[in-house]
Amino acid sequence: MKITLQNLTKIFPPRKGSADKKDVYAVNDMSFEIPSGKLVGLLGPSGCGKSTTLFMLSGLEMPTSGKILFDDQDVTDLAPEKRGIGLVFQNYALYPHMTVEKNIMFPLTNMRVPKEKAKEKALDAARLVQIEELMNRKPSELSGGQQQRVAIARALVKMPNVLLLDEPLSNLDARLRLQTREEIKRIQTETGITTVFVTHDQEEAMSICDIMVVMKSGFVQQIGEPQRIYDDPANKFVANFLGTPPINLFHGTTAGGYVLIGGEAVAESPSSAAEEPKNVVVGVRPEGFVYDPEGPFTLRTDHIEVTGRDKTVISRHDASEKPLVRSIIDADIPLPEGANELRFRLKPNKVFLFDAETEERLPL
Amino acid sequence: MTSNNAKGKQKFEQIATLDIERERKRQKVGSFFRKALDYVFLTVASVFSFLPFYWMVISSVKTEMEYRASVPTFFPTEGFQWANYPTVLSQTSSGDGSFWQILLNTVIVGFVSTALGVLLTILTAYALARVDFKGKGLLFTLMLGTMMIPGEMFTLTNYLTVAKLSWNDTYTVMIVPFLVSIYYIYLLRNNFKQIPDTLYKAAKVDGLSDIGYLFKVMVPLTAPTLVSVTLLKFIGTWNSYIWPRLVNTANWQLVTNWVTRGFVDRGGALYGGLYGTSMSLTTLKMAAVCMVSLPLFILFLSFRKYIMHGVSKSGTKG
Amino acid sequence: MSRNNVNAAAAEEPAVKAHKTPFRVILFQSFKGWMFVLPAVLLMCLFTFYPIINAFVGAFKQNYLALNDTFDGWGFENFIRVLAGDTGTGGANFVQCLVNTMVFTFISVPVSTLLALLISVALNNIKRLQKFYQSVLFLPYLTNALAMGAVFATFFTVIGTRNNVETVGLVNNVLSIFGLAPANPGYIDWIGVRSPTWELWNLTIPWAKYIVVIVYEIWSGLPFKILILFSALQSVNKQYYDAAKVDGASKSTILWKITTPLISPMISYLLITGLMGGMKQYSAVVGLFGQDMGGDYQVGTMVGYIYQYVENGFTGYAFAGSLLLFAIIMVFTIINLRVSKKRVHY
Repeated sequence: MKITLQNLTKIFPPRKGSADKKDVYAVNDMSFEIPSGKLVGLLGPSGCGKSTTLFMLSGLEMPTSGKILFDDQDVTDLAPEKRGIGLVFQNYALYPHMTVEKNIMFPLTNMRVPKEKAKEKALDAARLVQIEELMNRKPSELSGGQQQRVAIARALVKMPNVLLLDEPLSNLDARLRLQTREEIKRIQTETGITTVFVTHDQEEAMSICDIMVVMKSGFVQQIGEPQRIYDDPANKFVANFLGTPPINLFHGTTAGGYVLIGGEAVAESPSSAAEEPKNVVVGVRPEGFVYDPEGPFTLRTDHIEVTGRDKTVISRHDASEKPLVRSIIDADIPLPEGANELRFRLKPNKVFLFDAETEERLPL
Repeated sequence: MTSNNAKGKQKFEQIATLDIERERKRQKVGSFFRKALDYVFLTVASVFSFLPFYWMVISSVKTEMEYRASVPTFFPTEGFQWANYPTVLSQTSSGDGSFWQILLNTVIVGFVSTALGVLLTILTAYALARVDFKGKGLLFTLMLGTMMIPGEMFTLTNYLTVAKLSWNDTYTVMIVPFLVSIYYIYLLRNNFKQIPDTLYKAAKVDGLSDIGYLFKVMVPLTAPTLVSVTLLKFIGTWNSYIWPRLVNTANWQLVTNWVTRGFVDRGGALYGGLYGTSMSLTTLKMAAVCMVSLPLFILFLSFRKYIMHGVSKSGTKG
Repeated sequence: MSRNNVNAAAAEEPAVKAHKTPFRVILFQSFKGWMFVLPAVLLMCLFTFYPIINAFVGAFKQNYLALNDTFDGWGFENFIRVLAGDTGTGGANFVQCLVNTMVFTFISVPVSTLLALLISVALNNIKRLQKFYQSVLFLPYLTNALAMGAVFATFFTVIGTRNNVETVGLVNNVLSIFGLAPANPGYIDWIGVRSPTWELWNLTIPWAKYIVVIVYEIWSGLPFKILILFSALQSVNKQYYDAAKVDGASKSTILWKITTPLISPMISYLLITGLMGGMKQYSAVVGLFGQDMGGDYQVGTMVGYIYQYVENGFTGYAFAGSLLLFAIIMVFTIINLRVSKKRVHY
């Protein structure tokens, strides 16, 4: 099912007792389209409006203005149960007094599906998430990962058109998280249900999403396939939010056809020699550094971290926005022992220019 | 899961054929009615809760004639009969304590038994929570065991005991037998137990004695519970009825006993002397009921938080 | 050595404690402890522990007149006479009082709990005026049962006449508006001597008086139950309701299948305390019907029964009655705990 958001806006009244009496724009004039059958991640830091968006899709929150379309139908103020959605809550919200089976059957009971049929369907859903042997347990007797699966089964059992997941991995430990995200991807592929999930973890989003929506303070920053967003970020926020270790940012200028950082011309720039020098922010992905004794960019080496697969040179630079600069190079490239300074050249496709004021992306 | 896919599509069709406009209207009407129903229900319940109080107040300022009208009035139409109050207050006759005597009894008994009772509760709870002494376990078990037993079983023997002690018609008889309330001791002991031991060590380092620690540290820390216990104890005295009736004669009884009497127009001057000096008048009774209820309301309004805290914990009604 | 060290030793190695803690210290601690509890212990011995023993002893003294300190022999006669209604003193009948108390309790407690649940849910649903409704609903909380009983009695009482028109009380007025009052005499005498009754075996069931008591009991029981249930509802995680909405549960499904089970511990607590309190019913009935509890204890309660025999001096019957009350309360408590253990979900 295709989902369309048109100028969606959600305003919360100012919080009681808070100092400023301004309305809070949780979601601000948001428009985009989610193609049918895709796994979509809403990504952003906390307070960016991603969960509010998800709850508006589910029908638990009503938008202040704007529209939500499922295929071509306006469902904007339709009640949740009429939308054909399944929702997995961050804390799973499994009914503690019901067994796993009763939990999964609950949506079907409400649709007045005959008991035998409902049991059958519940078992199908349980099989899909591989918990069929836990049917008679109570939620309190399950591990976090098992509860998560029950919650997914409960959301899937009524064959929703859209599956919504709120921070599905945040309550799991690191190992389960890796496993569960593969699981979500598998279930989504198997069922082909359009799936939207919310996360603040960019790695999680990058690893399983077909499409990623990056948000900040109620505004959509960029939408697209994870790799494309990574390679071609729309602004400094997106560039900085994606990638581990994060991108390195330097204060620089463009002048005379070059990008200058601290007097060193580190890359070519489309600006002509005639133009006034302009202040920019230069973003360089850690993997964009190539060790080159003759290179134009000098970094003061602090120390080197070795992971086996590659080396991370941790260094400092006066123009850097962050205290440390990280550059990743192949493990088999020899580096001079105990050098205080190392010189690099930069891969052009890993260097981004941003306007110092607007933080928008500039052509390189 | 191919079959699931097929079913999913089937469901999709269902949603597609849903008449969105009608559904939206139905939802709006439904949620409006549900809201309205909530408010109507709460209003009915509130009227049910409040009506007796309203009735009590307006009846207390009606004339007896108006009160006995065949079609009841919801507001005094024959003027406010404030004279009902002085008439009630001035009721004295042989053996029947006047309101002021009864009020004095209640206040004295209330204050003394509350003060002593709370002090006793604090000391006992402290020992049970913080001092290790031989026989503590046995004592505590015995105390908890008696909480299951209905109070009437104690009242019987106590009635005989105080008669033997010749305590009838004294304040002592209404204070001493009720000084120990095991439930409050239990409640406070649990509160004391929650105070971390490190505080005790810190106090010892600061040179505080055990008694000093109890009154300077533990008592302030458990203030909310103590305030609740104090209030509930006082209200308990205010509302006590059976015991004073059993052991004391009218002059020594308390306000609740007073309010159960019949109130007659002794002066015979009220409402033009229509009802004489021997007929029990409901308006006067309502005036008495108002006076007895007023202090409870004032207490309730000023200490609502503490009272609710105490009552929701103890599950008793004063 | 400080008290805490004693504590720590006791907690960790009880066997070593005696070895480590000098006898002198234990003695001192014990002395200190007993000094703190001494006043309470003395009072409890006299007014709590002794009465329990005395009740068990006194119940078996035949023809026990405590004020004269006379009795003739031991046996079960008190119990037999109490149960058979053969005490030879008139007044309250134990079986009648037991039936009355049971009817009051078993109707008013479940009904008021159910009402309190519905009210709390409605209160929890609304936002505007929530505090206002809450306060009004809590008003009957701290009332004096005798005073408010008297007020309730005025709603039901059929009193004198004015200008030859009979005054029949507010409830009868409302009934006749809806045409529910019996044709002759045109009202129901709820409180007085003409109050209608049913005869059942050899019991009299004064149903009109029952209704009066039950209405009062519901009224006075609501605030506490609302307080408990409303705060229980507020502590329920809102996500369960969201989840239920997404799962397409109707309002009533949410109420009975989600909300009620989630607060079932509180409901069962209210039922237990309500039942135990209901069995000890007394003041309200006196407030409504006066000290003879509806004329010759027609709506007498078990506690009323006991006090009757305290006051007229037949102490043996009073003791026997109080032991029977105790036994009944124990039985209910045990049954209730058994049932609620099955029903309460966590």
